[in-house]
Amino acid sequence: MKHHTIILLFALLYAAVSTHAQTDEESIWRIKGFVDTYHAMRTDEPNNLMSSRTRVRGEIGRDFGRSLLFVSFNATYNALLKARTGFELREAYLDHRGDHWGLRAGRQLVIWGAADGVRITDLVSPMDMTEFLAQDYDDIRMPVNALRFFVFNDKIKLEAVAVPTFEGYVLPVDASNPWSVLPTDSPLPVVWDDKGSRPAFRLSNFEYGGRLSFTLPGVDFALAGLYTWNKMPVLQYKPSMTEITVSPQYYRMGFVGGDVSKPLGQFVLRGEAAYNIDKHFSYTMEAAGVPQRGFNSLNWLVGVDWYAPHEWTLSVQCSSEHIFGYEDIISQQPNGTLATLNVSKKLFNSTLQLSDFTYFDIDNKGWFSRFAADYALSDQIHLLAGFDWFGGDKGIFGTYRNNSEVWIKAKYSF
Amino acid sequence: MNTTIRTIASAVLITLATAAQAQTGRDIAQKVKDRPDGDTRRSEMVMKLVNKRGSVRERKLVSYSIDVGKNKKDRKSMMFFSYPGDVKGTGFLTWDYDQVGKDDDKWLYLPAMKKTRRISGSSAKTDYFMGSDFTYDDMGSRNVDEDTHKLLGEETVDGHKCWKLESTPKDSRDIYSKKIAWVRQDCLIPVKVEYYDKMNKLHRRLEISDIRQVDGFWTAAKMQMTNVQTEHQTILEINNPKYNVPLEEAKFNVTTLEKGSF
Repeated sequence: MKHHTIILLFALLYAAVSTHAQTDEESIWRIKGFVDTYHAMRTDEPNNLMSSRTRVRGEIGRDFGRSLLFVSFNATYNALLKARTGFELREAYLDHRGDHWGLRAGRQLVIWGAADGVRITDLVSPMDMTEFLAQDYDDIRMPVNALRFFVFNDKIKLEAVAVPTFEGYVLPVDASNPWSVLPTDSPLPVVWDDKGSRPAFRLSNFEYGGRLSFTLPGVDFALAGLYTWNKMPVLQYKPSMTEITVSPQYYRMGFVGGDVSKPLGQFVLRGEAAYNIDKHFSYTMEAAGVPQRGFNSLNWLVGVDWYAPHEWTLSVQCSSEHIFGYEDIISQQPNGTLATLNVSKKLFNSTLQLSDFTYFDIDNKGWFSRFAADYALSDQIHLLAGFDWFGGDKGIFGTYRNNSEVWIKAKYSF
Repeated sequence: MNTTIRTIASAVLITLATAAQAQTGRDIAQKVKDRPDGDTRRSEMVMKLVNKRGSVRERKLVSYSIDVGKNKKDRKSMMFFSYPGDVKGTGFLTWDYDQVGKDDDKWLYLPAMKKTRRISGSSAKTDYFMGSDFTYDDMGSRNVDEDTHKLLGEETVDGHKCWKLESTPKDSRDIYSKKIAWVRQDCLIPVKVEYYDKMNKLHRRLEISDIRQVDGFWTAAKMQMTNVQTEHQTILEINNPKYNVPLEEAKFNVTTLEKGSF
């Protein structure tokens, strides 16, 4: 990022904060943010740095009666991935709420469903997989340019969403990125080519859908449907005499589904399901010449949270995707099953939190487990350390079995 | 916040009346719970968490509540955190039921995740609220019949005539084995409460001060809860309490929670 941009950024932030400081508690300004620095090192040979980045997150909101203008941004210095150094506008939207209706227009995060860390009906905002899942989940979620319209009362909310501009997954394809999705065992050089793959900006490429949610005594549930894009691209391999070209291809798909949350004593049961229509999947490299076609699939998840005594929280989820009319050319299995386990414990009046979030790939016997210790040094400063453990021989986690890492992080919130 | 004051007073159970001799412990506890505090209320709270080395952490939040349901025995409340920065915007929505055995409905909004999640309405009640020495149960409402009450007598505390009331939870999952409250007879607010652990040893001590009338309602502006076993304490200051403010029950919903303000 150019220096003058940084200076301008801080000047704007300072001006905003100063304005905030001069007003009373009824201020219409909403200012918050943080500075964090994160560094990770591979625990296997060659024990190299896996990540090294420092970032300023700013979030500025201003109320105008029933309307809110909100902007958030990241200003990042990434020591390993130079292309990720710079200023990034994260969210920028106008929100207005009437008594029983509202709208939100602009760049925003759209989060649907009841699942944690697994996407079933939560298909509007894509994911930034630059560092795979080895970063905070709220950093993984990407905003989209969207228009949302709401109608609601105290128990029911109907949301309509339209996304005019396509936003796909950010995949790690930089050869210097240890999380690169490109094959590393190819006899020929592998070249990433995404030219022309992004769907054009036109009416027929809009995404649109809706969600009807109910918040009732004893149960929450929602029904949702979306005509969208599969934002995780199908990777197409084109071998030549000198290299293999990998290009992302994006295809339309739709889904209908829903989610439910039901508290039962100390537990909360959660469920979510989506029937995906005309979803495309990546083929094996051997089937590179086979024309692409869509399949229908059923993606579901069940989970339970236990809010145990003494500030223990335990959450277990199991999810699976069944592909109807499966063919061997598809690179994933017909019934891929994934389980997650999340355990956390707060200590010393919540100044220390220990947690672990683990994904288990049941079919390939692979796993990714992120252990973290978060210590609140003060109201503003948190010090964190952790270990990301990858295991297995196959599947998405087995691919990264040599990427286990230790990491440290410091975060100053304002 | 008056909600907290009243609920802590109720949770702590207590007291009073002029026909004291004829009253049972339960009668007194019911009067404490029914102490007038308007149908709606709003307040700003500052929570200071002090460890035994004297290090202080702060939480600031704004609270709204409304009495609803038959005879207005149920309560809907919403809290928004404004400090520190890492929890700013976090919100809690609670639909609190007076009926014994009926779990509350609770939702938590986490602004970083842009997500509202349903949380347990029962188990969290025995956990401590945001690292403080107050439990969620202390912060919420509690039916008087969730405890067995016994009037131990009368004592004078700081010049105020008080009832001394012992309350024993009927549910063994509660974190205390009993609590003893000294309730001012003139305003139905406890000035001191002692919580005993399962070993019947003193665990926490609540001291309530700065009691005065606001808008015609008795209000306690300061509560200090001390965990005598860990020497950690929480000082809760209630600022700018307002009663019978215009609030609509329909706005105590997830949409308002996600908006971050009324």
